[in-house]
Amino acid sequence: MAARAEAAAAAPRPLQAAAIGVCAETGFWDALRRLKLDVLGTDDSPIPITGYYTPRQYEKIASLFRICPESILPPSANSFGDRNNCPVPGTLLNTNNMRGFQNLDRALLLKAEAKKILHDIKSGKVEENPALLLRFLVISFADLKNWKVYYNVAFPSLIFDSKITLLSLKLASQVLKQEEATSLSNAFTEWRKSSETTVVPFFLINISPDSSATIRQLKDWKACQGNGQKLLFGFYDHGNRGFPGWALRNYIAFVSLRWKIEKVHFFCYREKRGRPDIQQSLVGEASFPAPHGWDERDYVPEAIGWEGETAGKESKEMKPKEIDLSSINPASQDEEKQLMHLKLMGWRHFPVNLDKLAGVRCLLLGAGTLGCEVARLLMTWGVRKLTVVDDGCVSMSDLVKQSLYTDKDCGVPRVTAIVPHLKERCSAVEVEGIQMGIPKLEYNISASKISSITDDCKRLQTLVDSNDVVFLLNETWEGMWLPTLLCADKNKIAITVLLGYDNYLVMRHGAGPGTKSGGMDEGIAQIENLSTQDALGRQRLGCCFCSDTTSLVNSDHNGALDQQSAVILPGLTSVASGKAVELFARMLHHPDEIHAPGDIAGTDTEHQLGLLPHQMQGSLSKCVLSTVLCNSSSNCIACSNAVLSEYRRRGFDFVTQAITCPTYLKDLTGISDLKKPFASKISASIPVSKTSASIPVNLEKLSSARCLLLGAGTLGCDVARILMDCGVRKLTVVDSGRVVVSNLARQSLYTSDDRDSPKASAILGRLRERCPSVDAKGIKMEIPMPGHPVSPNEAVSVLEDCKRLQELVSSHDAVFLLTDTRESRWLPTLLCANENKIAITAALGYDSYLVMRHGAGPGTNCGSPDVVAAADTLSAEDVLGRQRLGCYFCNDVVAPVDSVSNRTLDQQCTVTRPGLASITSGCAADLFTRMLHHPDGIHAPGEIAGTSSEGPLGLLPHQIRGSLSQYNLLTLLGYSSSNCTACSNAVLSEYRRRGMDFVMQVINEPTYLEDLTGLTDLMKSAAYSQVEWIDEVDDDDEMDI
Amino acid sequence: MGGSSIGEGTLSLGDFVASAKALIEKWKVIDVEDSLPDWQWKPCGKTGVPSEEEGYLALEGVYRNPGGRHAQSSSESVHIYDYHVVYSFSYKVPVLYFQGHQAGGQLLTLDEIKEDLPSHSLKLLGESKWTFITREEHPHFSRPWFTLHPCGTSDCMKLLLEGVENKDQHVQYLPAWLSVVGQAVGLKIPLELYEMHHVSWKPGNN
Repeated sequence: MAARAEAAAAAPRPLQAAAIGVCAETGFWDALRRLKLDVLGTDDSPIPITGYYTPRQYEKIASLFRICPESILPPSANSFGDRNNCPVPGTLLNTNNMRGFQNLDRALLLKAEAKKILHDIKSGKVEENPALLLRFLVISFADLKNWKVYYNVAFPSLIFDSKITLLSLKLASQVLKQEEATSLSNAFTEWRKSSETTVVPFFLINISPDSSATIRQLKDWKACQGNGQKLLFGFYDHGNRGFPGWALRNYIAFVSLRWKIEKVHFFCYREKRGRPDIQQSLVGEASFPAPHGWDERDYVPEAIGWEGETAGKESKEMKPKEIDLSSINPASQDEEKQLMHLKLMGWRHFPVNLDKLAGVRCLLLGAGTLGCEVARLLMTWGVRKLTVVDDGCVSMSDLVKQSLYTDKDCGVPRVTAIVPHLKERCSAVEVEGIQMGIPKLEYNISASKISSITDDCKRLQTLVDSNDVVFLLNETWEGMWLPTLLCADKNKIAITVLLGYDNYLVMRHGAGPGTKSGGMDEGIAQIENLSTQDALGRQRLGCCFCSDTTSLVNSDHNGALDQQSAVILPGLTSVASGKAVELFARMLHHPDEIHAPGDIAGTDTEHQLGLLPHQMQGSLSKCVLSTVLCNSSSNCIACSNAVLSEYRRRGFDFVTQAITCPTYLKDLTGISDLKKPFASKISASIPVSKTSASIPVNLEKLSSARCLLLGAGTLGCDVARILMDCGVRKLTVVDSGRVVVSNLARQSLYTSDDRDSPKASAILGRLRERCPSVDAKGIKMEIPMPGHPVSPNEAVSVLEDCKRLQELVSSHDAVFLLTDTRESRWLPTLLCANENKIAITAALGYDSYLVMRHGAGPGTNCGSPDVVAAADTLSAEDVLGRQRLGCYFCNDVVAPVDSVSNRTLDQQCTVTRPGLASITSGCAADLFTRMLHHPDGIHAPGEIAGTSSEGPLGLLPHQIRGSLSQYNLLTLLGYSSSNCTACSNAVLSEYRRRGMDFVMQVINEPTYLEDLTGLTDLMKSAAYSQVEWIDEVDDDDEMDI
Repeated sequence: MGGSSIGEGTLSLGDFVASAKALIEKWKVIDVEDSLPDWQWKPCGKTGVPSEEEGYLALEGVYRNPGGRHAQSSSESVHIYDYHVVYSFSYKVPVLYFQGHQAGGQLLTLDEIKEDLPSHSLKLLGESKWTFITREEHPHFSRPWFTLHPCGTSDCMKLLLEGVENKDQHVQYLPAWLSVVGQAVGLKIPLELYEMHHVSWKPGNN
């Protein structure tokens, strides 16, 4: 037998110990994944964990050290442990990204752990808890996005300036007398039976001259001295070979350092089927001369112990072990992946109440343009219970506007079509579609229809009762009356979205009235004694009828609203839906929910969500946004106490009378008859320009414009769709990624059928099924980026990509920069400036966004056709002699670099509030159409809201920056910087002179740009004069995450 | 203890618990392969309080060497299996749940598990109507395990227990059942376990 032969060798030799194999169970890593996502967030400090050690159990196989789901519990709360699971303290260091994991100084970490062991030896802690000698270290990177974990485990073993020498090693059966073996076996059986001792892996064995053996704890060492007893230092040996296990190394160091014993007799305890296996256990003797310097205060021992590392050999690059978590629970995985971006918000911003969102029942009245967008965005917020009410059918002309439907749905009721479209984006969502018209204030209803209308009223009442939140998206004024009344009656959250031609109103209705205290029966008080305040004693906020001084009669026939709602600016729906869903989420997270008072932009709020306004009104063409607060009116035809009392008293009789009798509501509420078109309501604070209904849209120009979209993600999908709605028909989409399940809720065009397809090809079908006449191309390509150095064998293909991008830019009229990293925008920005192409950037922060058009490229001073000459004589102005507007990089003081690898997951994953991308895309597409219609096109000067005189098309700003939490919208103007790393003349000249050589140099070495543009010098002088640059950089940085 | 349900090939919860505990004790005294540990009873109260009645039978940490079964294996290359026998209230029969992982911790896929199975197990899985492997949520963990679907168990057990003396049936149920399902998943169940009624056996501490 091999083991016997090895054990029998007798010459003194260096101690050879068997390394410990680790079984880090999938369940442990899954527990870590959850802990990281739900609790730890960006925190990457070390976590105490517990591992489980056991003596050898099977003859043929060494026991493994277990790291199991229980291991992650905090040691103070972890009571798990039994005879085959001796708890051992350990440390887990989980990094935030792969680079962080790769850059860990493994040798240094090991020494730090070894120092802890040395400290525990010195302080006597080991005697109390011998498992400390087995202390272990795990380093890992849990890749939450891809459900993988990379890790390494170490059992640090102390190394000193003296070596352990093995003097003898034999099988215990060869050393012990028969009686001794029997007695020892019985002693072990007892030791392993007691739950107190069985988990202690290091112990003392006394064998008295009469062959009786006892086993004692290390702390009883003094009592084991003398009496002619044999003393063996015993430990659980995990190994099955002819040499001792790894645990022996630190054990010998401990015995030598703590008890000054130079020659150690040891016993390697092994088991078979749960019983002591004295046959296969080992007995040996090792010597370890006291090392020097170890007891000095700051002494740091050398250590070895990484898996795969062996004593005496130089540790080489360690290959991380890899665990794939996707096999653990495939069913719940899709849902978890879809919700990950919400959880990531909690890492830095605010914890999203996922349970509440998943449980809230939302009723959507309307499944048209707004209905589609709101339903999808609610799903992105994690809402899982939706009911949609609509009575229309999908028509061909709606496909580009109503984001969920495709050509196959034409003629199908919208409520039937919408259900599978939501499900194919998120299988966990429960959607019910109800085909029903909302009863309207119509007045000329034939008597025969009254009963069916009453039925609809009752159905609607049941629906409102059984839901928590109602969205009023039905676009007609008369249809909002009944739902508003029902929501006020039942104190349900109601959110209204109204669209004009280029302006919108988003508001939440106030709570219903409370009752006045007065000893009255509650039921009667509900009718007779309504308070002007809500149940919390606060003044009630208004509903969408409150600030209107008239109850509108049949605007359908007046044509005021419908005319406008039929023609709305493309992109407006996306903006308004984004705001409505944001208002919903804010309200749901506010402690007072429906009773929350209305905030006004510009005021401070202590709430971590930011402001919670009552109403917001905005205009696309004017680039303004304002918040409005208005209280419930006592004359309101929908929510006033007079109306509610009457409704509670008479129920549907009252409703029928209100619907059929034109003057009844006016008489009831006592309002004077002031006819005012509905449009004036939204525009109360934003006067609609008279010309707005007749803006000349040059469809020919739009349909012939060739648009290049860089990025087919959240922004790319929305921008492509809105551009089609604008009339654009030539689209080229560039993206390198594939559709994954977490994209489905956020990236509006993809469905589960597209999973694993390249986005650049999946998007084409999705565009065509909404607009058959679109001429769309997709190109799967990564945009070359500075700061992502290229290895020599990649160089050829990256160069190809650069050239390809250059050809794409020159063959298109406008370029949309919709990628999610800063550095990926550099080359397109440079190419656009060089070719004087329209470039529009849309970038998302967590709750802020930026939309900007880049300025025109430079003109030349002498107009020479010679390119080389032209390169030297670039003008500071554009070809019209105007000062050039800035580009995305003009405010930067550093060159773009790799902004991903060193960041935490929430930064890498573009954590933004759902809805923000819709708003941004709407603004970007709108800015583009405005620019295209401007007589100067790319050369148009930048306008600022409120100052510039505005053309027939509305305002054409240079940059739009908005913040969701602050409810502000700024138009900014910035000129091209002569130090810009992308559009300055220095960069452009160099590019014109050296072409792609220059580009490749920048990709490998971005700081070269800083030297070239003079930023290096600028920074030096800035540091010298102590100018504060930092804020500016941070602000921009956030914009781009 | 009701012998009548056993006649139908089903088992009451009380019989299941009794049979399980008898099996644990019996297993300890018979000769089994070195790679097989002892069965354990794992109490787990759904209400949070562990009770004797609620729980399952577990055989955890069974080693299996992919490739040569007799080669001296390094612990790196072994596969480790956990087997749980859980009482199914809907079918009134025991259900086998199992999962395997590599020495490093990575869970095994069904294909990898099948590669570990001896050919007669694969044959049984292919032929028998009531031993097919599916993946279902483990009743005591919120995670899917592999399981042998219990729908055909009672019919099969009716046949197996024919001829066993009535008073032994509830104790014999699990060994008889294991002798079949064990084959399907490559678990070597010694005949001694099943031949309980030939052996004079008394429950004891040893």
